[in-house]
Amino acid sequence: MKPCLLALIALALATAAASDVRAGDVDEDADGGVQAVAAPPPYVDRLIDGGGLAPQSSAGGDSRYDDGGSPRYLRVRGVVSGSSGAGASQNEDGLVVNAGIDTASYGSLSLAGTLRAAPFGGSLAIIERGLPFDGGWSANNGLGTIYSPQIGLAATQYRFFLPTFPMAGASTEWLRAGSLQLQASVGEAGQFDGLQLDGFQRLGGLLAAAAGQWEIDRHWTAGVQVVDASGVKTPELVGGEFGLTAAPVVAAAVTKTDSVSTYAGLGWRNGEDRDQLNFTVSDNGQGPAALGAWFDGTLARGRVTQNYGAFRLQPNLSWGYLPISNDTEGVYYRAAYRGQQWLFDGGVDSARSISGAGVGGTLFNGDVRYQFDPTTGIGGALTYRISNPDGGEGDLYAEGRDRLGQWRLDFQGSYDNGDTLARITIDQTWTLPVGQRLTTSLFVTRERRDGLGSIGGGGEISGGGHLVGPISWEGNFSYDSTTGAGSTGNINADIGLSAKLGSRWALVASYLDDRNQNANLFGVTPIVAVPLTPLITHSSAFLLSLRYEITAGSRPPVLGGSGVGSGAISGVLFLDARGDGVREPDKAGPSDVTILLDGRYATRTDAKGRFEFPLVSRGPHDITVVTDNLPLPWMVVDGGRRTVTVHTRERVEVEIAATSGANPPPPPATVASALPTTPRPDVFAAVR
Amino acid sequence: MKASPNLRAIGAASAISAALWGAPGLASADDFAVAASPPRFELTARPGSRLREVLEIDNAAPSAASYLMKTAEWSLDVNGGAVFSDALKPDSCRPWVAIERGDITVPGHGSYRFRFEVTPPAAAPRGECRFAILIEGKGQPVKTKAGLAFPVSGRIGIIVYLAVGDVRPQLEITGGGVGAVGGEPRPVLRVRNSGDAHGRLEGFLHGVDAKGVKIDFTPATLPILAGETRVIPLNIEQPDKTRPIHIAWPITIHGKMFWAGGSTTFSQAFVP
Repeated sequence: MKPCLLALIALALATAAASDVRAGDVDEDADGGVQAVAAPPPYVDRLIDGGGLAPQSSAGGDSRYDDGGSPRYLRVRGVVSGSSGAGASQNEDGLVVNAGIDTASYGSLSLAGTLRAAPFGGSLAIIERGLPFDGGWSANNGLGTIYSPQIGLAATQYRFFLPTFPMAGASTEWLRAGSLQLQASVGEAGQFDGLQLDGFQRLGGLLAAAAGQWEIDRHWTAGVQVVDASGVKTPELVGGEFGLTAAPVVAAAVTKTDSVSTYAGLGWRNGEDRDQLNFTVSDNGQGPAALGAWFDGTLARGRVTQNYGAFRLQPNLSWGYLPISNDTEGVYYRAAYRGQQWLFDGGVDSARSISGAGVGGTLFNGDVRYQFDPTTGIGGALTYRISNPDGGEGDLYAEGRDRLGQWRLDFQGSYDNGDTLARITIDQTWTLPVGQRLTTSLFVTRERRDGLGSIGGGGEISGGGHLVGPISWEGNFSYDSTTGAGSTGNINADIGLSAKLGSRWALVASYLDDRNQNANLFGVTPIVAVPLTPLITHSSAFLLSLRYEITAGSRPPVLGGSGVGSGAISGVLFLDARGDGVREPDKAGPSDVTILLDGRYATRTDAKGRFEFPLVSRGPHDITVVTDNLPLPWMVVDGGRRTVTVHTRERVEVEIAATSGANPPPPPATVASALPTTPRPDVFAAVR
Repeated sequence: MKASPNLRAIGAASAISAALWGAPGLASADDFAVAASPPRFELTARPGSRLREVLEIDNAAPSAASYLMKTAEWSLDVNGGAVFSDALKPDSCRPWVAIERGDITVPGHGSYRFRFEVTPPAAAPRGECRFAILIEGKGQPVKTKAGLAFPVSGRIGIIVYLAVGDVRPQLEITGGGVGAVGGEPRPVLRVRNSGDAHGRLEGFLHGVDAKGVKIDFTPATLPILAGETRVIPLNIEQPDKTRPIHIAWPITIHGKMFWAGGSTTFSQAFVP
């Protein structure tokens, strides 16, 4: 019997690591001998159609992959696009090039360039990140059409933000192990333009900036930033996108601006608690020097978080060559409670004009949500404005999930400057097989605008997913008859197709059509009422994009660090008109907004507001939104910062809500996905 | 027939993959860069009807990779980890299952929509059965420092629950105590499922410890299979991550817990 036993043991050792198929068990028989018990044969699965089903795999991959050398990539995208609206049309045709290489000794080098044939223009930026030095120092450098850098204190604002400056020039940043941050930049100021393809408009003059930030100890941080703009031709900003807030700041065009602006900040932090004192002084030669000062604080205790602050921004305050909110002073307070079943959030903002030439007002808002059980919750929100004229809006909702998906029933009402609107909406996100999605929305509206009443309604259907072979689709159609007397209704339709054409090629085509797009009462309740006028009578746009991509190196270029293991981060930046932090089918996404990974790797949102970092090192990462090109009146709190942890082979999905100032994000559907509370930055611009 | 796959992060499948490495420490994870979605199916089927589902398999590696596809039995160990086996169990519903093919190739950075069908026979009894779909990398020889070569392959198991008829879990808390979770003492519950479908606890639980500190808890969402009794830890809800919560024992916890089709109120003191 012994040779038989040895043979079985040898067989087991040889196969154990390779397969589930086990060697036969070994039993001792009654008389002390050993015999083998026959292993059951492996189970053989049945095959659909005898295994004759055609495979459904995407094209992709690279059988010629070159794994030698440093990780590197090259992406070239050819774009043909056009848009028309308001009696004008514009085509944008050209190339987008992105390339990068991750080196061990010189950090990561990347190149991003655009060449636009019609209208002629382009941009080019070369960025070097993480250039290491001895003594814990590292450097980040930029050359070309870039944004001026900004110290952490100026960038991590709760209530306000100081804009950075698009420029054609050079910048450098030196960091010492998180304790010291030194920055300098110089170049010609400009503006990025274009819908699909970036161009760069030069504004002339010279823009120079220098900054430093010092972490004094584990609690205290101090920083100073100086911006010198000379001979810069200031663009006309009507409803401009620049300023201390994301709200409209109107300024007439100035031939040339010479100004010196200084920011100084002192921050204290202990866990989630923080206080920050900020000063800015500007002298633009058009009057006396102006001073701005503001204080923000956050106090977090268990489930209760309080935010509070005060501000005073003197008339004629500016930042570099850009006008910012000024001639206003006020206070704000906000408190939020987030329990397992109850969520409360409420606050008050009050502001007035320093000179008396502007307007002021007070805005109250609050919301509450109760979770009955893990699947069903109810809630409501109310916002009221005391200004000239008064106005407000509110809603009551119930939402839940069942086997069909997620549903939400919403009753909304709004009053603004004599106009009223009441609406009942039901939304449904349907449960579908993996790779497919479908959301629908239906609503009925009773409206009274300019003294005329009407009843209308509409709906929206949005979906996407795998279509056939390597082709996937995404589409949306909506209709809203509630657009005032005599209107033909709002119609919006867009459809997009994408296909991987081979291992390195991908094709994207999309078409959009808007008819009689109109302003909506909901979500527009700043301190000053906004007149509701049709924005666009008819517009359409198309895009055709062909992309070539090649990667090489011992591992794909993993963003956000080194080391083995990578995942992906994808997400969407959406316009949260309802302010509930939940992405619904009627919530569009702004395109061409820059999203940063760990503050160093950039991508842009597509036409749906979606973005992706396909290869990210495992571990914690920060996602932030560069708010400079976020359309008004939308804003995100704290740069939309989300900290996510990526695990190997995991895709993390991030949703970032951009809210209008009048409609702050109330408690989210789940505590785990809680959004930060927000104040109302538009208040400050509105009271100018 | 309705399918309601629970769509969760692909990472859950990756976690299973990590737990299933045939020879830990011998192979690099990069050799088997697979993500599968959804990581779990919870299907409902009518006897005599055919149900087709799609499993999306992504290859994160730059080069094409081939995988073996097959069904398997699975069970849960005491820690809630899935244990897979090939031998057909007596009550297995794998004979009702047909898969697209046993061997697939996924392009580098590409994806594959893998189809499978379940056809319960017309005489299938009411109940919930379960099986898994395994995605196995083809063995790559890995050499140790001693020169020994082992064929090593990664594996992901996708769990499938199949309900035939109107099946429901019926959960009952049969006891509680204090157990070690991640090296820390935590309140745990012993939960029995006397129903005919798997269930998961959810709930809103509030506790007061010996120092009078209020602490909220949520039950771990481990599945409790039909007919099983399982220990379910109560996890601390920690609103402020910078201030860890330490329980001063004993602690009294009360609240309400839910599962599919049922709920119960709860109140108990936990003493180590």
